[in-house]
Formats: sequence, C-alpha cells, structure tokens
Amino acid sequence: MSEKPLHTEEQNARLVGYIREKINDMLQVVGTAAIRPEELTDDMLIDMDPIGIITESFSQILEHLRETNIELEFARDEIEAIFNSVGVGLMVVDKDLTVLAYNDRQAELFNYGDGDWRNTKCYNLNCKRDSRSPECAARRIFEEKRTIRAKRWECFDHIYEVVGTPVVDKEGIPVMAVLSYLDITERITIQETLVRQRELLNVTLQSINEGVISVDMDCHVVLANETAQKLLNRTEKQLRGKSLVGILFEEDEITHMTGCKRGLRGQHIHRYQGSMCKRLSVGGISRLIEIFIIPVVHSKAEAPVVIILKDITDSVRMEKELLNRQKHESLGMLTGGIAHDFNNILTSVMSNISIARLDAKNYQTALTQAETALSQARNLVKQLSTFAKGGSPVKEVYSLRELLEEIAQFTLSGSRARYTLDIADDLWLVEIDVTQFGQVIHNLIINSLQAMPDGGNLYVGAHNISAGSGSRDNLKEGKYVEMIVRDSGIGIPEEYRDRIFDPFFSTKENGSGIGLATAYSIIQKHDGTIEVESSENKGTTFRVYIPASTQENLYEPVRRPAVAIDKNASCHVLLMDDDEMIIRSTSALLEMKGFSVDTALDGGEALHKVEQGLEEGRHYDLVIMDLVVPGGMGGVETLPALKQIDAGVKTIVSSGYSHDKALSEYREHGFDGVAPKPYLIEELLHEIQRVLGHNFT
Amino acid sequence: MQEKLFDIRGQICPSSLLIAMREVNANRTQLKTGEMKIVILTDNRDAVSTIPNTVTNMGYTIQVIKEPDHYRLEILKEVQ
Repeated sequence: MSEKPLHTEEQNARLVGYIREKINDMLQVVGTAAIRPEELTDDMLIDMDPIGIITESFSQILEHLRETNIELEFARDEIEAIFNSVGVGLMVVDKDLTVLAYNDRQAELFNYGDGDWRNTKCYNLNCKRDSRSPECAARRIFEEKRTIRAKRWECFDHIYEVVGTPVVDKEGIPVMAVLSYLDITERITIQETLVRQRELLNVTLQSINEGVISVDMDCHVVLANETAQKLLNRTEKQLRGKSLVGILFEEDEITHMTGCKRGLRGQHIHRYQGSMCKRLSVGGISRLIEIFIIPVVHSKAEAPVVIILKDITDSVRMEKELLNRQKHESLGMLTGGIAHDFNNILTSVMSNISIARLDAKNYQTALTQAETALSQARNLVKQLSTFAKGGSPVKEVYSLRELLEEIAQFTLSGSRARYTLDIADDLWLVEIDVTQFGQVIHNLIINSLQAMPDGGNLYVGAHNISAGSGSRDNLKEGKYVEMIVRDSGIGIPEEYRDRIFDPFFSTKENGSGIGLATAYSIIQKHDGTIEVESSENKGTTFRVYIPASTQENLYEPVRRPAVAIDKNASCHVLLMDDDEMIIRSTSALLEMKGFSVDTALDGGEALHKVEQGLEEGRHYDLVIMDLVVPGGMGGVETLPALKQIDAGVKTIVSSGYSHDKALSEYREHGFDGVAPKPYLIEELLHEIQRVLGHNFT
Repeated sequence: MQEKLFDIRGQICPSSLLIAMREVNANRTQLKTGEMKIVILTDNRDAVSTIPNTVTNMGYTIQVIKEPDHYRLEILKEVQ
C-alpha cells in the first residue's frame, strides 16, 4: 500500500492562504480590516484559533438577534394592543393620504364595518369625498411639516378633535402622518345644552317681575337680577360682592334672617326661612316690598340663601279696592233689601192712614195696623244697627227666663214643631240689651224652625255654667249662662259650617243671610260666644254663652207696668230735636198723655227756654235731648250748660244713632235716661216715669 | 465585581478585535450574570469602532472612555 505523501510546501501555502482568506472574509463581516501576515504568523493561525473565536462570537450574535426578535415581536403585539385599545381613533396615512393603518376605534367611529380599508384614500373613507378638502388636517401636516391640531372638526353629525403628527424620514421630510380622532360630540352637546340652559335661566331670571338675590355665607351678593337692581336702586356692579346690610337689612336683622353671620363659615348655621315686609324707596316712590328668605338646602351651594323681593304695593292696593267694592256690593244688597222692606211697610202705613182719614168708624183698627207696620220697621232698623261700628248694646241686668219664655212663645205660635223649654230655676242674671238679645233668641229659633219645614223637636234651654280650671277651655274663667237652641232638622253641611255667621251668607232660597250674622254680632258685643254643632239630617245645636251678672238673682223680673196717664200730673217737659216731624208728633203724644210740652230745635234754643222759664218762675221737670243736631248744639254739648242753669233738671238723651256711646253709657255722660229712636210712646213714658220717679197712676 | 484587564496597546485592529472576542466568548457566563467586566486598553482607533460594534451585536454593553494616550473599553453584561 502506498502512503499518501505529506503536504508539500506548496500545498501548505495554499491551505494557509485559504484559511487567511476565509478569516478575512469573516472579519469583514464583523466590520474590521484583513489580518496582515506580520500580525498573525501561520503558527498563530492555529494556536490562536481565530475561526473558532469568530464562530463562537457569531453564535452569540445570532442568539442575541433571536432574543431581540422575540422582544420586537412582543413589542409589536403590545403596540398593536395599545393601538386598538385607546379611546381615540387612530389612522396612519402616507403623503398621498393613502390609509396605511387604523385602529378598531377608528373603524367604529367612522362605521368602516367589516373589511380591510387600508390602501384607500382617507378622504374617500372618512369624508366620503372624491378629493381632499382644502382645510384637511392630514394634508396640512405634509404641507406645514408640523403637528396640526383641529379643535372642532364636524363630519356627519359628529364632532371630533383631531391631532395629526408627522412621521419624518432621516432628512426630516414627513413620509407618514398619525392622526388621532377624539369624538367630542357628547361633550360639545352637553356644553351647548348647558350654555343654552344657562342663557334660558338667565333670561328667565332677568325677565321675572320679582327681585332675586343670591347671597353667600357672609350675606354678600352673588347674583342680583334686574328687578332686584331696580328695587334696590343699584346696578349689578354696585351690588355684586357687597353686603346687604344697610341696603336691605339692618345689622341685627341679618343674623337671624339669613343665618349669614360673619365668622360662622363652616359651622352649623340655623337656617331661617320666612318673609317680612318693608317699605323701600324705588326711584323716589315709596313701595311696599315683601321679602322672602329661602335657604338653599345644598351643602356645596355657593349661595346658601336666596332672597326674593316682591313689590306688593299694587296688589295690596287692588286688594283694598276689591274689598271696598265687595263692601259696596254688600251695601247695595243690604240697602236694596231695606228699601224693599221699607216700601212695604210704608205702603201699609200710608194705606192705613188713608183708611183712618176716610173711614171714621174704623180709624182705630187702621191706626193700630199702621203702628204694627211701623214697629216692624223699627225692628228692621234695630237688626241692621247691630252691624254699625261699635254698636254698643244698651245693657241692663235681666233674666233670660222671661225673655226666652216670651220670645219662644211668640215665635213658635202657629209652627208645627213641638218644643221644650228647659230653664234652670236658679238661672243667673245677665247684663244684656234686652231688645238686641231678644233678637238673638228670635233669630236662632227662626233658624231652627226653618231647618224643620215638616215639623220636629225644638229644645230651648238655659243653664248656669262655671268655666275655668280645665273645664270649658273655649271660655275665659268665670260664670256664664248657657243658652241652648237645638232642633232635629236637616243640619248644616260641613263645608258651610264656617260661613254661617258671615253676613249675607245663606243657603236658603229666600234667606237674607242677616239672621245668624246679627246674632253673632250681638253675642260678641255682649262678650259672649256662640258655638254650633251639627250633623246632617240629625239636627243642629247652637250654644250661646253670656257672662253672668255679678248682681244676685232675686228673681224679680222687671216687669214693665202699663203706663196709666194721670192728666193732673202736669209735668213740664222740654223736647229738643232738630226734626220738626218728631217735635210735632212726640209733643202731641206727650200732651195727649197730660204733659206740658215746650219744644226747641237745638241746644241753644233749649238753654234759652230753660233760662227764660226760670226767670218766669217756670221750672222744667225734664229735658229730652236729641244727641246730634247738625249745625247746632247737640245733647252732649248742651248738658253742662243746662246743669249750670238748672242743676235739678232731669235729662233723657235720645237718638237714632244707637251705636253711640252716649246712649249705651248715658249715665257716664251725665244723662238720667235714654230713649233710642224709634220708640213707642209707651216706652218713652216708661223711661220718663223711671227718670222722674213718678208714678203716673 | 471582578475585573479582567487586557492591555493590548501596540496591537492593531484585527488582532485587537480577535482578542476582545476571544475574552468575551471565554467569560460569557460571568459577564451575563454581571459578576465580571472585561477592560481592554487599546491605542488603535479602528478597534475603538470595531470592538464596540461587534460586542453590541453580541448583546453586550460597552463603554468607551478616552484616556490621555489610549482608550479604555469596558465590556459589561447584556443589556436587559
């Protein structure tokens, strides 16, 4: 076997050359120059093992590249996830506005739907245009080579905020642009709605007729509308931030009115809510302003109190006018009714007088009838006069027993109702105006009878009651006489119960609405009360409480004795009245009853006559004086002079003004007696008898 | 940290690079765990660009510090 020959030198040189060439190729790959032979001897080629070194380095380089690739891949996924998950739409375009990429949100915002829209022009895709628009943000990025921001870009009912950022190449030339689209439609809509609402609120606030002021914790003005500015005579500038002290409130008012005391900021503040009235000078004219203070119940409220100013000058005036008109209407109703009743009475009187004049045989009957008609007229006037201002009753100590018996009997005559009269034997006395109180009883009984048109049971009672110490809370402590009128009639519907005592209120077809109102008025003037209790179809009970008199009840009713005439009594009476008709009739009647009568038309004449009489040795026993003499001296003015001339003369005051204090308190005014007009001759005679202490029998 | 110093001043690029690569290969584990850094002192300008390029591609960090008459190259662990 022939051995393979060892390498020749030539072969060795070729091998070394080859190794050096490949080492140099590899070194070139890592970027360095070729190895020169003097740097690395042939022996070193093997010893140093450059190929091994480079190969191992390559393996490290490759490993590093692989790791880098994995990282890059991860980073790309991460970026894509971010790209798709951001809340804004993102789109990447090249300089021809060809879409290179877009995120999910962008597809959603512009309704791309399914499908890949890359490589389409963005103006086709988003703007639905054939060419780019002149104000296109994407175009401006490439033209102006900078970030472009469009704060409000509208596209198909949506509003976007668009930011476009250029992506530049090594030379700084934009090659791509990243555009972000933020849908601000909702925000803008809310903002615009807020602005509109604010404007609306402002216009409303400025146009309302009430002044509106908001104040802060220190009671400084935050807001004042036009009306408030007008009412306070100040411009908004003069009010804003200023304290209302000295403008609308006094210092001491502010604390409890608004709770806006300085220094109480942050602490619990008692919030006041209420209203008050003040007079303010508005443009030099005094106006009545109602001030409402309303706390704002909101912890973060900038203005914790709202103050409303309402000019009520006109409405108060109108209310007064309305009230006056109502009064006039009522008066019209009343006077109409009176005129009607009086006409009837006058007709009866005139007819009866005519009969008396023409028929000598029956004149007595006719005149009695005329007198009856006139007493009706008198009752009518008495009823009405209780409405008169201050109509003080002419009180006397009296027992209700007599009055109740008398009036019940009279009123119930001919009625279908069964009645029970239940009066305590020891009934206390009361101080009443007998005529007026008679009317109360009459009206209550009539009312009950009208509630029982088909008959029923009527109970009239009177008892003693002691009020106080827990019992009868509605009455002041003391002794009372309780009078009860109870019927079994139709009852009063609940909705009317509060109104039955109103004048002219009536549920009856022909009711005047005066009866119960009169009763109420009279009872009030007697310091009494009236209560009503009613249930429909079962009946009604009226209870009247009148303070008992301190005078002991001897139960000796003051009976008015019939006045007999003693023609020999020959009393001298001076009758003073400005009404000649009354002078004529009264003096004639008195003369018929045996008095010697002189007359005077006013106080002056009366004094003259008394003086003259004394000079002539003639003394007047009694002077009857009219209270009011128009244009002359009336009773009250005449009395002192009269007493000076003749201290012993007795006086009776007379008037149609039944509400005058001189009548109800005639003793305090210095008179001996009283004769309210109109009077029957018997009543006048009775009073004369009482005053003179004479018994004419 | 252990420091392995190689003063290859006077040598020119290819062999400088080969030495640097050899030492990095040999100490890759200690380098990667951060236990060691390799410091090479060289006065060859080419080596100042070829060594950093190569070791960066291999995944290491290199700091080039200019000294008065040479360069000090510090090769540290991989960039994380």
